Amino acid sequence: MRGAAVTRLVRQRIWVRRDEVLDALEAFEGARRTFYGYTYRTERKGIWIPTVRWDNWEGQDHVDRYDETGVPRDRLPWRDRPLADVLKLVKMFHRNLLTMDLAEL
Amino acid sequence: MRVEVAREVGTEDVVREVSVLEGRHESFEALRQRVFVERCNDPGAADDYVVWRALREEGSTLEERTVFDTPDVFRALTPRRIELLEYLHGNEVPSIKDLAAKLRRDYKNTYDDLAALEGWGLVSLAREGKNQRPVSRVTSLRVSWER
Repeated sequence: MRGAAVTRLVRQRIWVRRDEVLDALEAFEGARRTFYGYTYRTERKGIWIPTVRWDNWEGQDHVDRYDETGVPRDRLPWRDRPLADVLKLVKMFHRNLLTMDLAEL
Repeated sequence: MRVEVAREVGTEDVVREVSVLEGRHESFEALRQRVFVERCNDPGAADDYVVWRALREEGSTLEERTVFDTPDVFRALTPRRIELLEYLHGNEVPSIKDLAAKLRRDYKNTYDDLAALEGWGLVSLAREGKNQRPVSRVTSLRVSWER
């Protein structure tokens, strides 16, 4: 009989600059990554505001963009890529990600 | 350059984590309602849901890391602050005043360093009555260069 899958959660805060972080949450069952959520946050007046978010919420890979107050602006399809790739994008483009065609990156 | 700070999350931490989630969302059901029925777009709520759901399952584990992918790390990790982290790793202290006394440091400087470390997520200051109890959120620190 197969036992219930055990979930291993890995939560990371990656500081890219003093006022920019990439918050990553990943859930694994064995070697399989069952969930990922990578949120690029920027600090404004002491508050961390979501700016871009990549995740597979409800099994759909997509990327959300937020306006300067943290309100969702749009959602685009996205093909699943590892955290290291998303971190590279964040370090390369920073806040300019908001003006780019993220589905093509 | 990359500095990776890891923290072992034990049973007590998981209890504390669930208590924080309860404070933030009231109950697991309320959070589930928020993310699935009200379709809230707050990424923090979605992450909280994934964490809480997993922590309700027997045997699930949580690992935490803080990574500095910026030279700004040296603003956070000055020699005196490393000394604070090291002391807190090996000792429990009831208050900031007590920590300052143990390290023979001025209270204000100790407080300022702890506040800075808290800002970088390396220390938490737990309110206990009139005191704030400093707790290290670091169990290992690794520096590497990656291409």
